[in-house]
Amino acid sequence: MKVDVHGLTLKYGDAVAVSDLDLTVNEGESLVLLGQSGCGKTSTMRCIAGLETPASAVITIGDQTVFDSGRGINRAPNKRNVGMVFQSYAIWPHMTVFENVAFPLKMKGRKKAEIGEAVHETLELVGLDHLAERGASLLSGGQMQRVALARSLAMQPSVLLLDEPLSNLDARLRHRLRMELRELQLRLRLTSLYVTHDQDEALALADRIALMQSGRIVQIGEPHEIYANPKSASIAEFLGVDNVIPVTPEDATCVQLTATGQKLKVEPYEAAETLRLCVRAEDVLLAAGGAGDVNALPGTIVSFAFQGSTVAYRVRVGDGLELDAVQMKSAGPLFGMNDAVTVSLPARAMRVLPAEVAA
Amino acid sequence: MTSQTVGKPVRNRPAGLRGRARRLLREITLPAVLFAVLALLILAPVALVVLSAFASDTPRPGNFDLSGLTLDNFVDVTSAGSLKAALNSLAVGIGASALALLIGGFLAFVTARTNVYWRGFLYLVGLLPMLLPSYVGALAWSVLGSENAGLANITLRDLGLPPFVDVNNIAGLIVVLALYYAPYAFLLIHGALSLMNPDLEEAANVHGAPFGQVLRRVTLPLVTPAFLGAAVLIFVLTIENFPVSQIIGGAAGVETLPTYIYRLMNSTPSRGNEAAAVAIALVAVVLVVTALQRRMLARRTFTTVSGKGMKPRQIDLGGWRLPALLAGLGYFVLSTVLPVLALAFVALHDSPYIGTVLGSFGKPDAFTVEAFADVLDSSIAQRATVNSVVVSVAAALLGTLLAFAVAYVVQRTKLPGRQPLEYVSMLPLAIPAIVLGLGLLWTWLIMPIPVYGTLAVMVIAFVAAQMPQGFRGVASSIGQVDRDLEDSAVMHGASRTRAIASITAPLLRVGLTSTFLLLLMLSMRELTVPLFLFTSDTRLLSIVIFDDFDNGILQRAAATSLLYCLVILALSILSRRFGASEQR
Ligand SMILES: Nc1ncnc2c1ncn2[C@@H]1O[C@H](COP(=O)(O)OP(=O)(O)OP(=O)(O)O)[C@@H](O)[C@H]1O
Ligand SMILES: [Mg+2]
Repeated sequence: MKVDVHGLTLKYGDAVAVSDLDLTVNEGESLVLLGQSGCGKTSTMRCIAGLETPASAVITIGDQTVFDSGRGINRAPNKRNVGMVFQSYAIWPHMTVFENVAFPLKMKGRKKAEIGEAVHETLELVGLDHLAERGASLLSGGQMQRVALARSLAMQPSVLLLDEPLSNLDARLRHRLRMELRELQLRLRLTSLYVTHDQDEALALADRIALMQSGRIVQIGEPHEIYANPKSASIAEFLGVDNVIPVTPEDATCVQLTATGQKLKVEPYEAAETLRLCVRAEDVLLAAGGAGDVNALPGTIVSFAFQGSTVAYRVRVGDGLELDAVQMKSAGPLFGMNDAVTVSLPARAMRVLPAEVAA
Repeated sequence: MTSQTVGKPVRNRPAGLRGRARRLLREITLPAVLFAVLALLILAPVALVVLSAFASDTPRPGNFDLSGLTLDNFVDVTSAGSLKAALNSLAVGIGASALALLIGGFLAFVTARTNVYWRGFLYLVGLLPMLLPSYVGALAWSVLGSENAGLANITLRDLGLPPFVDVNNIAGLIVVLALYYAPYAFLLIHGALSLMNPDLEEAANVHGAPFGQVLRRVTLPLVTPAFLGAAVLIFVLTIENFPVSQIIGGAAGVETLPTYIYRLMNSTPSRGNEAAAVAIALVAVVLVVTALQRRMLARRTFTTVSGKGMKPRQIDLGGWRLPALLAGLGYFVLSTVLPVLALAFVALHDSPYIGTVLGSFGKPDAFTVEAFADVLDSSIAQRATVNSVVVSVAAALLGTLLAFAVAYVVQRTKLPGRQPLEYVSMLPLAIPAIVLGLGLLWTWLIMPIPVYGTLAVMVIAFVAAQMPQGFRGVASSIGQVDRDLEDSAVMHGASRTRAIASITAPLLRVGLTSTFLLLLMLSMRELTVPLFLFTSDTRLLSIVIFDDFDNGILQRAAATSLLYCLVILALSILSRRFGASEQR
């Protein structure tokens, strides 16, 4: 079911964890909430689940208002029919796998036979049918994650919340479960809100990504859209853009590097108080010698590292300004320490963005 | 060098063998020495109790023969008197642990999980009775609650109300024990409740369980191990408790196994062999209960402790906030306020005969500090204070050192015989203090070394009796110091001994200090272990209080008790400072 969060503000004492946040998860959509540690992702999710009481908000699930600070509505968590996979999994250690998954159904007052059938069906779905009678404290991390998922799926939730469900697992298992989760989500067409601070995970799992910074959503859109057009330099940096350089505006298509005073031609950009030039390391071109062209800066190699098929360089282009560049090995001659090089920055690969999204 | 010979065993077989033998000898020396010490301290007394139970004579200097082995002593175990004592003990143990769990569990729940009024204060209320040694509490209650001369009934009469208080019966014994052992339940259950990962409860809530169901299906099952642990601990502690039974039950002729053992020992002629046989019955009960608990817990150990420092959600008590506070305050009044007031009243009253309580406040000179002056002046009390301090400091110091040596060998080395060392160290937990006292008496009577009758034997007894607490304290802090720290000192050229002295021991300073202070506290409070060991020159404060009470010198006993509690209070504030754990 569709989830609508409007004007959510959550405070812990005086500290504001989430401020005036709007968010909509469409029916059957997988929305990923992506943001740095401490930006308020878990808090947002817990408000939807009913585990925190926001200072103000209107939250609806389907056509039911579960929280409205204005009208004094606050549905108990157990009445919201929200499934939640906790970061710690929160598998009850004193119950078997079966009992864990059966719990929400028991709470709904289902008949015994019906419960048994539903539990086994769900366990089959996550590939754990053979472990049904196993004590839950004897499971591995990956198995716990599946039990937690099965437990939430079994209740046929209106919306499924997942709080960094893969962060406690090792890299390979994380990769595999990520694929499985996506498959399951597509198959069941679950409305789900997934929290993570891992951008690869976000890109792989999302229909849409909501980027969160210090308690606000700063950008929302489809993965490729966000990847291609970050709204601010700090978003770009979070998404893995290596070079984020302070610049001052010259005119509509020209900026000046604040550190060195060199001028660069760029695509048209929107004016803002503080501007940053963002360019990915693979878009920075290096050539031998000290030729001068448009957007070409003389530089010296200060360090380099082989990365298999590519080489990463760090180039000094002036006082206090160093750029990262990555070159395919076949793209040109290999440079050594202290080699003089020309750094070219193609206007099309550069983006001039405001440092932060305006509040 | 040794490793070289081991590396080429085939070419030089005899040398290799000799090398190995030498290495084994070197490896076994330290554990063997420690084992010998523990055997002398702990195993010998236990063995002597067992032997005496089957002998026709108790061990005496120069007279220790095992010829006339007999089962006669056990005839007494099945006599009516001892059966009655056993039944009383069981009733007292079960009743007191149930009541203590109820009180402690209630306080733990409201302070850990609810918004009860004065939460912080109630937490203190749960801990405070720990500062009153159980026999001081019992003494106060016998002053307060005896049927005829009890202060409670006198006050009631002053008010024109019918007197109804009487603690000198089995129910009173149960209540008084429960009052002073409830803090153990409180601590253990509070720990479990406040360390539980809140996600576990929230998950149940999100998945459809209303508050009551969360409590019943998730919270309670998860604290069951702590609950069971507390139940067994308190059962063992109450069933082996001697002084409370003696003080409260003695006046009413309610006998328990420990008081029965004490009476057998103190009868003329002393019936030590029968006492030993009864002691074995008592140990058997304790062992059975501990074994049962282990089996129950083995099937259900969960780690629910969360790494995140998150506080579990508070439960809104609503209209029950005030009643819950009042119940907590009721416990505070019964466990601490009334007893302290009663002791103060008796100690300050001008005469030992109290006709009226309320009336005394009207009389101009009804109160005097004479009793306190008496205590501070008395050479017996002064001597006892010095003795207590000397013995406790020495026992805590030696106990901590021994515990460190044993814990280090058990936790940090692969030396042979580590496991037995740990078992023997923990053994006194299963041996009631009165039985251990008996065994220690016989051991040091027959020892050719003349320590019996000196303070040294007290120190030895305390070190033996408190080995489990010392071992546990040191072992847990060793567990928290990364062993790589010490190893890296060795890699950087220090010898192992040097590395321990310059790296591990300093890092353990806090842990060792708090263990030392815990042992100091326990030694200061202990009454039962030294009960058979003291002579007129080596009386401790606890013994003096007990003696005075036994001889009816109530005022001095009350005054000494109050001063004694102040000393313990000061010590515990000191140990809080050092982060000592307050577990027994
Ligand atoms: N119970 C609490 N009491 C006080 N402050 C809290 C509490 N829980 C979270 N916060 C604060 O609120 C802010 C948002 O926390 P939240 O847990 O939502 O972050 P998050 O985005 O989920 O981070 P992470 O990726 O590390 O899980 C943080 O600054 C955090 O310190
Ligand atoms: Mg989080």
